[in-house]
Amino acid sequence: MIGQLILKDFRRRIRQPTGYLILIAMPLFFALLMGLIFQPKEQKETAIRVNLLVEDRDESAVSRFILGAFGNKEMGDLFHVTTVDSGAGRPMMDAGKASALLIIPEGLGESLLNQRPASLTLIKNPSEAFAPKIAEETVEILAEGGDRLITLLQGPLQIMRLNAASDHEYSQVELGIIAFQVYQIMRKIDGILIPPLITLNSQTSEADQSTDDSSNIFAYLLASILVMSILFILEVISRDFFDEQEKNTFKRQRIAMGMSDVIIAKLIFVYLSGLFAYFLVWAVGIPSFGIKITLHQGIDLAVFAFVLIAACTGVISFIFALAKTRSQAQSVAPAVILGFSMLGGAMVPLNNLPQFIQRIAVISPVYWGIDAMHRITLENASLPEIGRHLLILSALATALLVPSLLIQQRKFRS
Amino acid sequence: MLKITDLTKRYKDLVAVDNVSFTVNEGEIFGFLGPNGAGKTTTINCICGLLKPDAGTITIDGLDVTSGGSDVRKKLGVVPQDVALYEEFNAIENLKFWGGLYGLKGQALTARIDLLLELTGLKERAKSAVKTYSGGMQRRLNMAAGLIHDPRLLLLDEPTVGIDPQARHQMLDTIREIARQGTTILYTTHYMDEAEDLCGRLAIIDHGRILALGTQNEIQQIVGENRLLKVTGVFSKSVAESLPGQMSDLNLLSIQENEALYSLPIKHTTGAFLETLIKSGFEIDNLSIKEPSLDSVFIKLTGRELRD
Repeated sequence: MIGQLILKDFRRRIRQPTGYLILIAMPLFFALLMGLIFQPKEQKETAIRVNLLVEDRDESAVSRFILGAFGNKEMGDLFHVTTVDSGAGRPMMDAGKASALLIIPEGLGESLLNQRPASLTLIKNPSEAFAPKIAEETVEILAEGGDRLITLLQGPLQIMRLNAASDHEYSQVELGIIAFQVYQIMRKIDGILIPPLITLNSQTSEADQSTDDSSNIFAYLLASILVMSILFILEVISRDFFDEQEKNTFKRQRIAMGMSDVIIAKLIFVYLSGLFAYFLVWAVGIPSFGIKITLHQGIDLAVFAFVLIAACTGVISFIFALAKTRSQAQSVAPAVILGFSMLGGAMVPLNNLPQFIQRIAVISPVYWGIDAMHRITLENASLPEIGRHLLILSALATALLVPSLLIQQRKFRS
Repeated sequence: MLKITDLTKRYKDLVAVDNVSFTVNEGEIFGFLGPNGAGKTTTINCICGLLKPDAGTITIDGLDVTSGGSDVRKKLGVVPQDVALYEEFNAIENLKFWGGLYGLKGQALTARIDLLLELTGLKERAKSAVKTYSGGMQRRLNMAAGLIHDPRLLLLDEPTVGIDPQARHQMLDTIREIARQGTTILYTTHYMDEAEDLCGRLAIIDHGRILALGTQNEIQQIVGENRLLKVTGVFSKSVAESLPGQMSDLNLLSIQENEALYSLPIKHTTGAFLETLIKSGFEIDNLSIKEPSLDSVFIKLTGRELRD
């Protein structure tokens, strides 16, 4: 008979589904909205890209070394280097097609080999703010590094310079000695200077690592908004207690079946409605937002739902049991939901709230709901790992549902 | 069929039903009359188990309603004062649902629904949503829902309140037909004419207490062959009290400010009474005459009209 009552309630909802569906759509809508606002964009789109033109007028080993430095993996993400013919760079700069133009002068390699001063010319694009500055800093580092390298390699370079002046032909042994000397020096500075000469270390703080994936931010937001939305959905469904009372249909049911069956049936319907909303939101949210979860995570989320919705049903049914009138219930319940949601981190991430609020957040069932879902979806936590959450929410459900049933019975009997 | 013994129900300090006892016999339509707030609905709610009595017993077919559980519920059908239906469902869906609560299903339920739709004249609109029905149609479907499980005792709580005369007439015809088919009916109303029309026996209740109980004839004996004369106007209390001394068989029943109620055997003319009033110095604003009826019984018993 309880089944008949529950089925009737579902049929009534199906007849007028708009309100219920709008409520279910709310968490999806807000997750989408917030996700689009806070979604981290692709690395290559967000990072500043420096378009660097290089006029290599020297075409020596040194100039190729400089060009090679811009070509290593880390520098390659930052710089887009285009080698241009001599004299072709300036018109392109004037046309605003690059952030900077690096001119490697003819004879640079020879000057360095002979330890004579030499200079690089960098022409910056005045219409860009950051990219030319980055080019300038990088070229300065390269020049500094090159200078140090030449100082360090002074011994072998001296031999090479003297031999170059006398058109000396190197034997295999001489080449081996020079190569060994260079190797010894380079081994000492390996990891400091080359290779690569400059590396760009990109680090992301640990807290942000969880949200570096767009899939994760939607999972994070959906879980946060879902618990609050479920509470609001249950509040709206629970209004049936008053609707049916006012329509006298409750009275007629109680005559046919007895009081406790009628109240239990209504509580089960409220619970099932919440459960349905939970599954529907995830079922729509996961493919729509491209949330990546494994089958195991999906099962854990499903199992967790039964406990979470029971606790939420407990909270709402307890408020409705205590409320003497519809207006009392409808004014107290949203206030409690908003309070719990704010405290539980549904509106603002908990770590952004003051320390004392973070400490008392544990009194909110929303906190336990959100935290458990975040752990399942973002940290791949298993059910035993959220055992504390399950235990607390189960205890809350029992502690609220049983008194709700008894209070409702007493209320209707009087 | 229904036996109520010393039933008492209190709401804090208010005694809503005070030591009420009566019996409804198998197959009869028993009228339960009283003004609004007299204790009728509280009594009905105790009979159908919605309220727990503070004292007394109620049995249906020998089964105590407080402990009889589903056996009692199956014997009892209730048609509440307000329509108790799902407006978004049609008549068939409503009746299926209510029948399902009593364990009816399949062919038996379908046949019963057909019968009741026929009885209540709703067959043609059976598939329309209840929210599109007129008030009278909703009342009739409300009654059908109370009869869906073929109860032996049907409690009708003021089923004609708020409907137009034509719908009311149809409703009373339907009730007669239900009774003819063997269902025992406890009919509560504050319309005396309905009670006179339908009920063999009746009880009059006011302020939670039974004032009169018996057949219509037995109850009318309370006023006997007397008219009730209610005078409204300007007069002193002593003059009003002295009037019975000036006219034989005249009895003063009650007196309030500017209003006095007398009973006078029908052998005396109303004109003679009027003449006595004028001679005594009454300034008469209004004189209402009530011929012997259940209404006049109620006025005699309570000093006020049933619908006050």
